[in-house]
Amino acid sequence: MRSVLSKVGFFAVMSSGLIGCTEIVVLFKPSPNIDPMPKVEACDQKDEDDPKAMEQWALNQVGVTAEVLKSPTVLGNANVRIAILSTGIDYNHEDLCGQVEVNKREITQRAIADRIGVNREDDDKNGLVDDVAGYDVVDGDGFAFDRQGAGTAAAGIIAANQRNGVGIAGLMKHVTLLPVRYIDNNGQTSIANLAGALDAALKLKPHVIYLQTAQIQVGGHRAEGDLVRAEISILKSYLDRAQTAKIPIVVGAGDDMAQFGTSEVDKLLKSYDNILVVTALDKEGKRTLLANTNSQDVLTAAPGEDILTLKPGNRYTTVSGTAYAAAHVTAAVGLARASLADRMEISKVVSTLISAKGSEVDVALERDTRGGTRLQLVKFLNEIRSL
Amino acid sequence: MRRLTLIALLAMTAACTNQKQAIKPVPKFQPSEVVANEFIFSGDKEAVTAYMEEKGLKASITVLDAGDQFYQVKYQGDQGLRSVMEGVAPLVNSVEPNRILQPLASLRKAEWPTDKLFFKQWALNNIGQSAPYGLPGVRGADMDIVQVWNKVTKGSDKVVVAVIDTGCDYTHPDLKENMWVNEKEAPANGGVAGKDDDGNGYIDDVYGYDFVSSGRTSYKGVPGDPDPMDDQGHGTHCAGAIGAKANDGIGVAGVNWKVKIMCLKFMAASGGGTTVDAYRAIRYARENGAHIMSNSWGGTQDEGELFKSELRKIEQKGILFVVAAGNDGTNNDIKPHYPSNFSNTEFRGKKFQNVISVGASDNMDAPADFSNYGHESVDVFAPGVAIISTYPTGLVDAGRPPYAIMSGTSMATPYVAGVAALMMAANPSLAGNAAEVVRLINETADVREALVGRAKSNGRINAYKAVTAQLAGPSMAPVWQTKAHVVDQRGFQSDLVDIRHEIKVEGAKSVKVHFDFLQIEEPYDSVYLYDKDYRLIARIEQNMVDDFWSPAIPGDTVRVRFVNALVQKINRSPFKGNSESQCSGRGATSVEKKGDEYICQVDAEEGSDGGGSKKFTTFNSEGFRIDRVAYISDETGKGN
Repeated sequence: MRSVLSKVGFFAVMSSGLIGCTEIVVLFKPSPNIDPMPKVEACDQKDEDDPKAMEQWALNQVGVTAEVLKSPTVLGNANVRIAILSTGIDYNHEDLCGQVEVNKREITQRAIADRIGVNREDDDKNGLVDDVAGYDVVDGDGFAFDRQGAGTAAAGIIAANQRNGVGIAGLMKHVTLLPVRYIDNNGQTSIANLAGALDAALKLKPHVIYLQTAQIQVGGHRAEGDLVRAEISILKSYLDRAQTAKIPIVVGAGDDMAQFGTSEVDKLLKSYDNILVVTALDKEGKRTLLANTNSQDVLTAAPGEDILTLKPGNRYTTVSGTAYAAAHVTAAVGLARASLADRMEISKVVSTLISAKGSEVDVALERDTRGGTRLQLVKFLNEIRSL
Repeated sequence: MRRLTLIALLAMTAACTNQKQAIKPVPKFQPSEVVANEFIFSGDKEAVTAYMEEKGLKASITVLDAGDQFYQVKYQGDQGLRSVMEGVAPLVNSVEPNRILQPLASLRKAEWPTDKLFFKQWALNNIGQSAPYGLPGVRGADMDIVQVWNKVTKGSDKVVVAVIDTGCDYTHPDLKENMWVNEKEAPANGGVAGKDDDGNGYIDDVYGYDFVSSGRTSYKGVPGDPDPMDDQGHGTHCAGAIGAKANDGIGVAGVNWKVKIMCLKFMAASGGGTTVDAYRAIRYARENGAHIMSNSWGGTQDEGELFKSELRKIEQKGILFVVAAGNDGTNNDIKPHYPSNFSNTEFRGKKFQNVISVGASDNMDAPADFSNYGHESVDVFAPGVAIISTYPTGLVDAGRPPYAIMSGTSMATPYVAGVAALMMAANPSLAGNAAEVVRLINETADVREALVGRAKSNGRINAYKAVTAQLAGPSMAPVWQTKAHVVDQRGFQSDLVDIRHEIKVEGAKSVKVHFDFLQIEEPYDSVYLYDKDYRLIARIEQNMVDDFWSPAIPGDTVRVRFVNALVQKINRSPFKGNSESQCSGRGATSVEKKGDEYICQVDAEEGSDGGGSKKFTTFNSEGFRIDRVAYISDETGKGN
């Protein structure tokens, strides 16, 4: 039997005449929302075609043919760290084996014995508590698990296991993804979450940051001028840090059938030379109906409609949006980093992405992008490696 | 049976891959998805003609693409389409049914109303654009409203929808033309100020009434006053979803281009109201001709006899009572939420037939995290995340447009009320027949994977299918099978516990677990149930009876989790001191000055009389035991 008194506070009159009491205080209770522990088993070492790669038209559009997939061009390197700022990633997806960082330094033996998994301490002293699988700014925990799908979709384009006989092929065979969740399960977010995500991402020490395109409210419900300025300046302080650290940030231009660069957040983004803005193309190589464009502030274009990729729960789906065009460019920058390591310069990546030698020129995109170009991954990598 | 056929066909395909020409299997389809007695094939026309003649089927064959030899076949007779197609399949290169294509969202701007903000209204037309303050959605995850407007109706000013809320801004440029006006009281019609012209008991109730009574003197004997102007914003937002004027070049479009909105205010600027004021507002709506009541409020765990008695009167008049499921993210089957749980409540031996409880979904047809749900007590989901609608002109800064973006089951509710109004506009016999409206909405909802098990309809409202009453066809009642499965988690002592069990039933579509023992004490212990993707389906944080079935969990896997909090036992012992520093010197958590003395509160260890040391305490938990599970297998309930 349970002793009820030990749980329920009772009052007692103390000798001094003052009233004292015994109280049970809940110090900690695990949250009802939980994320799975990341699997750490070894991945199958196979070399077989990916059964769904046939349906990945976007691979062909960027020049990644079946032959290229067998070549070292898209090998990448597990030392390249790409932060995925989105809805999280299904880090246990069958086609992402070994691609998402599992921070073993945060998994303590005592915590495993207690079946909690974590110990609520910053064991690796990187400034993030229990960041086992990236960081989740929305829930404030270290498991950036995706229930919405956007982050897993971007992760699949970049890093789905190549030639493993399962699912699709991503653009990088080896890479380390760092999921940072700043958008909730219903696709909504805030400036505070974005600032928190940039902060967490910088602590995870990435080489490239992928920023999921989302419309973000600035200045609260009434868009008050003072609040707008305050929020933008907070965001600016984090973006400044990424710029100083020379980390390229890749982002989609948005999906509002409009010009990129009109919202307060867009105005800020376009003022940075380390932020690469990408618009989306359909299967025919034409700009999609919804994709935002700008002949100055949008850099280039990449596939972003009906892209076959991963969906949480070992599933596959097609997605559309400039965010997925940005995912293709993110992989291109990641592959450049894998080749050049510290010699990679953002200005050269940018100039190569819009040069005739490092891309495919398309006059139809002249008014939509700065370069009037679309991503050609193989040409881009050949050119950037020769620099 | 169908499953077996398919496996056989697939096996045949595999066996034939080395041959020159493989026989392609007949594609999967439901009879309701295709045109009866029609199919498309490519290949030898003569062979098909001969086959149809041999089977005695009178058929006409039309050329679709002469180059690639595609033909359309129409035949007469009762012969099932599948069996004909299976007969034809070996003779041709390909065979497929003539599918009925569902109308998707409208990509053509020419088909949109001219309202400036219409593009942001993903709930009405989701073409994959970004939701305000969020991510792009899935094309088609909307209510199919544009189809209703283009093909059936844009609403009717004969349908009256009462918004029971914080009132509305009846002067709003996007609302004023669709406001209900009590003609006899209107000054334009000779209504006399200060006189109850229509004799309904309310003086000067032109646009509705303000029933907020707390701290207010009554107005000539009737509590409240006749001005339902919105001083909060919530009610105006709801009203806009139902009937903001469409195609006027400004603002947003409501679900109805034409409708009459009756504004009843019972919640104050603070956002709160009382049972009595709500009751008066609802009674007013019943007595003054509302066909639909939109109720974006609630939250009590107590049914309330006054309310049930009034609701029965509303039901007897056939008035539809649409109500928000709540924004706690909890399961209404376990933790009741009123008035929405009246959708599953018996009163005087009969369930209410006129109540529809609404959850909120997002632009990917996933449930909103905050939305309440429940397979028994929530009816249907409707868009309720990042909804743009009207906002009182007096509550926005000068020069800013009077519109706002809000999220909640509060926003989903007026959409359902609006769709019900469209149904009544298209089919006036539905006005006064609330039970039929509820049935139609639930049976025509678009079933979505993420909503299965979370509402009676398992889906999101589809206005076009509801208005045109395209029923999904008779559905087979699911057969629950049970089997033993024991998870014993009774009686243990521990500080902090987080135990997880996975129960998997191979081939199951939905699983329930049965507890034969369940002793949970708030706030220390909790049992949580999740589905295979770790979506929280039920939280049990209070004692339930020892014979408790969990709600249905979609999929073949249930994750059961038992959590016990880490607690600390503190003896709070006060003592008196002469100065504040004396208190803080002994580690007091609070200091209170009483006359010349200071009363210090000190946290003390159990058994001692002072000092600041702390001690964790352990206690026994009685826990739970699961003895069996019930499941619907994938085989049952499947159409042919």
